[in-house]
Amino acid sequence: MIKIENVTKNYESGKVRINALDNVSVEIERGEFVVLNGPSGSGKTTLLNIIGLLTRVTSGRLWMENQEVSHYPDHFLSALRREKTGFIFQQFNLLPGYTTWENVSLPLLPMGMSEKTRRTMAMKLLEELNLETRADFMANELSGGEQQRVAIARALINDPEIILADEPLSNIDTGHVTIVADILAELKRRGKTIITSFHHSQAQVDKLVDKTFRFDSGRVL
Amino acid sequence: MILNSYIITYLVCSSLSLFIGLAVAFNGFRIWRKWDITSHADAQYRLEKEVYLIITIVSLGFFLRILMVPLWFWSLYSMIISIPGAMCLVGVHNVNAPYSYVASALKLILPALYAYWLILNLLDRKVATQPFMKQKLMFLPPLGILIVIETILDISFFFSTPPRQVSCCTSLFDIPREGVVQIVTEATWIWVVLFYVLAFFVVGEIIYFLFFQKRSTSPGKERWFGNKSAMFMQTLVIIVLFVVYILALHTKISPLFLGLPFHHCIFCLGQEVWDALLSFSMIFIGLCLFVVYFWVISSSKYREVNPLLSEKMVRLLKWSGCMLAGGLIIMSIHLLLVI
Repeated sequence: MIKIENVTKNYESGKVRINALDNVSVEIERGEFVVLNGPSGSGKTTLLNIIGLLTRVTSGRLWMENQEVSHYPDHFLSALRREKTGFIFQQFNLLPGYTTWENVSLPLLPMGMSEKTRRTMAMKLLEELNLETRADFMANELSGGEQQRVAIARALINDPEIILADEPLSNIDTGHVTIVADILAELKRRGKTIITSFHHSQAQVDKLVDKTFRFDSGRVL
Repeated sequence: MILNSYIITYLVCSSLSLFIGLAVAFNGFRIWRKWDITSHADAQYRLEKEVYLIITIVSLGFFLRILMVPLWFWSLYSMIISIPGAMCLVGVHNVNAPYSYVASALKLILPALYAYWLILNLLDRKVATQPFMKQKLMFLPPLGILIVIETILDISFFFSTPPRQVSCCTSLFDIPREGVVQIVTEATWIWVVLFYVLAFFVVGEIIYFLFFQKRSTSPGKERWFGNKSAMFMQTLVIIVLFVVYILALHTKISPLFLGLPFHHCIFCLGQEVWDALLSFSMIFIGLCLFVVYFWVISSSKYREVNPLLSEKMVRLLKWSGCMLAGGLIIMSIHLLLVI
């Protein structure tokens, strides 16, 4: 389903060149729970961004469902990103000036849906995640665990096939870790492809994992 | 120099149009030189972002050009009282003929060229390989040159209008003629009949192409439509049709619609008979879309992505047919009523 072939990604800042990924090849099948493991700066987030079509490769190829998307123009990538992927960020990235339901329904805005439809869809997801009482709270009024669940709801609102989660358990307390792990288990049960990154092994999700790729200095070990 | 609120508004729009035209021409050429869709380099990604900006600016330019068409003619109309002998736009044009006629023609041609670019862009964005990218970027510098020419003509028109007596439509068109000139310019039905024959031929072609494209799945069968000679032939047919249309308006339709048997002025027709102006606009847009259709399908790049775009092209052809048929119906109803 997702195939990454000899991918290299370099970042340049002035004369400094950082080799974030070095000739990485990975294959992920539909419905798999994949973990990217490794220390900070090892290339996990870069690979997640590449699979999530948020950044482009410097060289190599990225295939999604038998389509090579590495050369796709930006408006094609945006459409693919909107249809196929949901991204859960490490820092949640919620918009503080907006309510919970507005944050959740953000990915629906480019689809031209009415406010009523967007709210109905957002409320349905918030109920599933036990957040319906927080629907009209401002995002910055929520606790860390609640913010993470809102971020998950936002990633799921467009019913994506692929869910990418960058360190989803690192900024929440132990009580909420189990809740988020349960959500991930439910998503796997529904047949979603989940690709997540962890600094180190997480006992709560270990039993869900189909594949683990260990990263170090931009390489898969 | 004649200046009034219409002319000042027009000149402001014209300056903006010139700025847009030059900006997209220069940047279009620069991006065209560096464009390499196979490249992963950050520079290529930046070029792609710049293309999005160019698309936005060209879209703005297109709406500006549409606005400039009535503004231009209103500006000319506002000059009638300042030019001795002028009673309609013919008199105003004659102050600086033939350049003023070239400037007026460019007012219609430039929005059509912008529309061609935007249609090409719309098709290009539907395919991941962006097959028309280089073609559309290379189209921008000539467009910029045309806008520069137009601006020079406009400025020379408004700022160096000589204070002289001009001939207007009644003295130019309404005097009796002889021989071949009589056949060409006098009140005969030849041009009207010829116009209808050619227009129905084009409408028939559109119906045939729509029918043919729906049924045929064989790429070989479509090939003769999409070659360069077919494109030139079709463009020639449309140019001939448009010239015949102008002659038909001049010889017979204007006197009939205006109710003045000896008055042949097309500008007076457009000024006083609103449905004639509407049908002219619809026929013009219909013919332009038809030419655009052939220009696109004759491109070698189009053949590579035909299955992805054929639905869009059918829609374009339908629009062309609807506009042309609509314009013809409006004109025919009025014609039947006055006969």
